[in-house]
Amino acid sequence: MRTRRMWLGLVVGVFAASLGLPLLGLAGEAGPQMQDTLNAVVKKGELVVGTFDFYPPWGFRDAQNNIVGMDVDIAKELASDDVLKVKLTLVPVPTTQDRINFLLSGKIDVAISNFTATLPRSKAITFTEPYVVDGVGVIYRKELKIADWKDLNNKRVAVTTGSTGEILVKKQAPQAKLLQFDQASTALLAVQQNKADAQIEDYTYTVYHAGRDKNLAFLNKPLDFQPYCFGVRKFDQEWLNYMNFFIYRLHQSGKMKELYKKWFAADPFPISPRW
Amino acid sequence: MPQYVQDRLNIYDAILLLQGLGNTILLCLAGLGLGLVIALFVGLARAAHFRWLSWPAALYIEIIRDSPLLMQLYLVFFALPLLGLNVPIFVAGAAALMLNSSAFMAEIVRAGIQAVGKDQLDAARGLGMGYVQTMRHVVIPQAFRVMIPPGVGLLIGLIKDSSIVSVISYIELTRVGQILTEKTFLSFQVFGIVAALYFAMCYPLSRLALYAERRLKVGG
Amino acid sequence: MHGYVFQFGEVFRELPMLLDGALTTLHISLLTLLFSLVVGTIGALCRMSDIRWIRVPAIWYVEVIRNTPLLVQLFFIYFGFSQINIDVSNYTAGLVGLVVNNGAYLTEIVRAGIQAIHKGQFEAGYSLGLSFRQLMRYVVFPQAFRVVYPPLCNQFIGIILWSSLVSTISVHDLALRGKELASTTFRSFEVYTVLTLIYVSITLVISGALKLIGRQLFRQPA
Repeated sequence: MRTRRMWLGLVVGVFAASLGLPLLGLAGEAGPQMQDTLNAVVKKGELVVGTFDFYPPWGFRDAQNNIVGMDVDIAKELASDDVLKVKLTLVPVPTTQDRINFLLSGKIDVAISNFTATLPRSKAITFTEPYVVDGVGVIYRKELKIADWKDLNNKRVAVTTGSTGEILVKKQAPQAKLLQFDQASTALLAVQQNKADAQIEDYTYTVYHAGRDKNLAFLNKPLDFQPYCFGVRKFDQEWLNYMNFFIYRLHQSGKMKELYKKWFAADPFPISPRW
Repeated sequence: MPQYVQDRLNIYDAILLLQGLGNTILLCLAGLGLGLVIALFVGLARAAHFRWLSWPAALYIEIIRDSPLLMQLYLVFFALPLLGLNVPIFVAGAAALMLNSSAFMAEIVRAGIQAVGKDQLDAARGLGMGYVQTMRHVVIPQAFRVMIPPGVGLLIGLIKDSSIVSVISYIELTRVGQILTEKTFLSFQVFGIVAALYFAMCYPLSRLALYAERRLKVGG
Repeated sequence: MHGYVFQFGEVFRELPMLLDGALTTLHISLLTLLFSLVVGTIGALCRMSDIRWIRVPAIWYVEVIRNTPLLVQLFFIYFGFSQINIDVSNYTAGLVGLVVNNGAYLTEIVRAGIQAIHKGQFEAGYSLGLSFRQLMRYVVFPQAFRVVYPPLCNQFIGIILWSSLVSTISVHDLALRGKELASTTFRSFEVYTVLTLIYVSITLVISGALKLIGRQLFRQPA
């Protein structure tokens, strides 16, 4: 009898506690907390950069299991820069959402991982100026004829959870049957295995992978434009300024074009189109 | 453009697997060590006769046992920065394992303490031993013998549970399996090897638990 | 941390979506229990067989599954299906993984249940002229069920909790819904706190109900 009362009390207690939790959500937003990552990085002599390790050609593992890619090359440039000249530590980030989580919990100083700047994400972190402009592309099985978004309706479309592509396809092709995956590589595998008809990913990704697989083709016109930016924490003004200046110099010196040509064998899209 | 196409596993992959194995062992040692300390306190509290000690301990144990380890891991991972502790991923993973295993270990400790017959306690009391002396010389040695077989079982569980820390991207054995599969798409081979490595760690321990149970059978 | 304000309201707004995921969790857990009971019973019978090439594979099945992590088994099955080009849904792959895993544990539970029945019962039953089927139905099964019931309830609770791992292969259960909510609201701590409370509530209610049912079923005559 006593144990039953204890269990009853436990269940009631848990329910009551969970009902009381909304009360904790009444207050307003918190005030700003100034960060100073620039000085922190210089002081500890180490720059911790978050990249992907499963997303060729931006960040992936080579045969020696080192993390390489376009973003990694940029991170190396950043660490060896005149002002910083620090050791570079790469932290592989497992999912798209974790870029934000790792930034907010201080596990990385900056996220350089083909990070598309969007307004919802800007609620949590701050984006720099774009360093590369990409589009959203479709990679599809060659036998299908995909020429536009509406052709994706009633097709099985593989997307990555939480990515910009997922949000776009929901708007543009609402009748598409979505298959969600944690990572782009698994989504690609689904298309290769004919478990999905198409995958929505960044344009450069579709170019790279369609080039590797005879059964796949990529849509020649990117359907949206996606600015890739570095991600930094909010209220970190000096660090943000420094990142922006670094990106500017990367473009000015032609280094960015050189890296882009190395990985994509093409010229990059213009960041600011001329009207 | 540089193309990295890999269709078989190479020596670097083997090295990464070994690194993952080492990290798994590190994770388990950390989770076990501190978890044991917490479990001792919680287990003693749970076995105590004072309600204000045994009920909070029971609550702690019950909540941890009735929620998934995955949730506990995410909670610890997100809660620590909110407390101002920006710790490396390893610490978050070890902390979650430590909390989780401490609850199960506390139950083992409690069972061990309560397995020591009342007559032993009475005899010790009759000999004039105080509480601490009774604990030290009578209860704990005997409780220890009872605790070893389920304790080894818990260690096996801990090794398997450490695979969940892969979701926060700590480079332990399962995460290495994911990395290699992403690279080569040879999931049968990769996860087969990963499973074999876990088996190599756990199976000997399970035989040990059986052996210990047979050897340590307390008569009467 | 000073400055961080908890916003549980955002989570509670989406409670119906989360509870929908909880239904999937319960759904897959029940199916897992049923199928793994079948697997477990077959496994137990194999395990107790006198024929070596039936008994030994059963032993190995149990040992391999019990000494490898569920997550690795799930990945093996999920990605493995992809590699050999079998087209299954994530849900199916998750279900197969859970059934294979729990089947091993249930093999041992069912075996213990059957072996708990004293040999004398079999002899008495046969001497009373009962056939094998009647023996199983009226003597073995009721007694075995009584022995098996507590660990079976425990195992079911375990299934519910560990089913959260299928979220890693994109099955839309409670855990994955929570993860999606966390990625849209950026309120990860609040989301996972509520998720944990939901799991605890489900577990407590189900284990309490099972305990009550058990007390009714196995009521000893006064």
